[in-house]
Amino acid sequence: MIFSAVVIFFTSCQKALIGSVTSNTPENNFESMWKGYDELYGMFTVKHINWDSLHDALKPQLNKNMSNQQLYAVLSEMIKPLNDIHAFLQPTSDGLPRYESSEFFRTHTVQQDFSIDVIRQNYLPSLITIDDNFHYGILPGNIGYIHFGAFDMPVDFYNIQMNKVMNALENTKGIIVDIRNHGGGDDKVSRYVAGWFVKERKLFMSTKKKSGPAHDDFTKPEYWYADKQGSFQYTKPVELLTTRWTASAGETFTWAMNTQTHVTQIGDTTAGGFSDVISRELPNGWLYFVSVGDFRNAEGNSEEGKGIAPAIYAVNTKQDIDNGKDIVLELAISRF
Amino acid sequence: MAIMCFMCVATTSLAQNNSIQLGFGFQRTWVLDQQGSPLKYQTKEKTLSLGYKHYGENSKLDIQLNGALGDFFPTGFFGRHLYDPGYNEDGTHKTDSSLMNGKIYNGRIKIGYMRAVSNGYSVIDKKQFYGKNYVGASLNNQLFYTDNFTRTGWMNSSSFNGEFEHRSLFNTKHSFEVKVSIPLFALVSRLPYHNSISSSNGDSDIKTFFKQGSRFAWLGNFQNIQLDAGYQYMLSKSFGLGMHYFGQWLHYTREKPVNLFQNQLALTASLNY
Repeated sequence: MIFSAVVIFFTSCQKALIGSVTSNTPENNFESMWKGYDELYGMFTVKHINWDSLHDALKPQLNKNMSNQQLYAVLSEMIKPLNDIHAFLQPTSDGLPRYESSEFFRTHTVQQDFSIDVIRQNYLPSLITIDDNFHYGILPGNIGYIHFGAFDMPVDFYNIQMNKVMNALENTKGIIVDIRNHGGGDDKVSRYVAGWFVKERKLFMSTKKKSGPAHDDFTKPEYWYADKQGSFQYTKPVELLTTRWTASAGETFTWAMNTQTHVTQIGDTTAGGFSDVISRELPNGWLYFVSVGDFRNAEGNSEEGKGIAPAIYAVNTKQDIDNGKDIVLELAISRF
Repeated sequence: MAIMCFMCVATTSLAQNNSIQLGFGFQRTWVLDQQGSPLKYQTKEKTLSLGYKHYGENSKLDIQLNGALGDFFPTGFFGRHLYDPGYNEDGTHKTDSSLMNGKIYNGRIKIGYMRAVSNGYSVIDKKQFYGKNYVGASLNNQLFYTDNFTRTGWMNSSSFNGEFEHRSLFNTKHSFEVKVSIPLFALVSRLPYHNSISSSNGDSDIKTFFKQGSRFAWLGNFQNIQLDAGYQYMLSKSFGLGMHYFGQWLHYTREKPVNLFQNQLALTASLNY
């Protein structure tokens, strides 16, 4: 009895002291997501998007009895025009899949132009695995090879591992840096790893992030420089391999590497998604993800939605990979 | 004579001693942090506390350390699932999922000094009471960190507080104290408006958090009422067992409003010397 009274007392207290939450209705979920992007998305201007018009166009499709599947369809339509690899809807109920606003990632669900297994089996059997996203070795002809699938570990991890890797590859005649399936990570790691290949300190990126609800409310720009890192700098030729699957921190890494004259980018244009991303929640518990920055290259241009074009264009087909061939890697090897 | 003896013991107990206290307990926190999420979050935490108190003739020094760790989840969404966003080789969606419950890490340290402003002795129905009222100030730092997707509730506050405490002793074995603490000024650290962390100059995320998100606050925009209440029964001259309640309500407006309400109940053991 006393316990029940105490529970009721504290439950009442917390409701009064915390405040009420937005109720879970289709309209509230719609408004919450629309407002979340309205106040936090950093690229309405860059992408020339009229966000208000989407609200007006989609709101009539709502009704209070609609199913979660129907709500999912409306919310997906809301973010579809953003065509942003960092903007997606992640339901947490009904088994609904993540909706990608990026047209490329919506229509290309499995990467078919790269396989680390093909490289291990047919080009570099002695490939050393540091983790699933970090491999290295020496190809025939004394050519170094490093593969990054993400920059998802702390800088300290790369500090330790890169010392080991670069010492092993120091006497090679050149290095192929392969980021063709790079899913992103931390830009601090991008800068750190690129620093091992820096001949000369160069600006590679400026970033600003949302500082208020208006579409042009941004923090002051921060300027990112590729600085020398590590115990020595590798200044012999470097071939940087990219694809449409090279994303986010993989792309800021590409910006940093491309500032150096001994680096050549080979492959396909990158994914075109540079900004930092945050996750938000809806009253129904679903998640959505928002790019909160406006990231520019050294020339001050945004490449959001466009990607970084390579100096030399080359792409594997699915058939190449199925046949155990990596013609992009072969092209890079042939250039040494 | 009995009254004189009691006065003697009570004065000694209340005036000149040191006490070290260890506590284990349970804590529940509710937080609505509109910067992170429209959802209200709640916790189930276990707590560990360590305290030192020095009672002088007319003063009191109080040092409290408190740590809590527990589950952190939106109210009504415990056991929420995150579906694997990836695809199978044949292009179909993966259907496996994982639980989304996060963790909360909460720590507090408080150092306070108080002066006695009044004291009194009374006998009611042959039972003797001795009490003191204190007024003073404290420095308090508390940290909230969560590992959930939306960084809900990330906050550190360092505050200078005004405090009032009443302490009473009943028949030398039972003591009770209650304290209210309210911050006058504070340095509050929260994530910036964009709710993310990055630094172009190589600073660590922790340094960047404090550098980019710290603001000076005062009673007008940072309200944090803290209430402590403790009961102790002395099993011997130097060893006592008791219970301690701590509760706080916090409201801060930047970048977006955050409201927090917390209750903690702990069993305590203390060594007096």
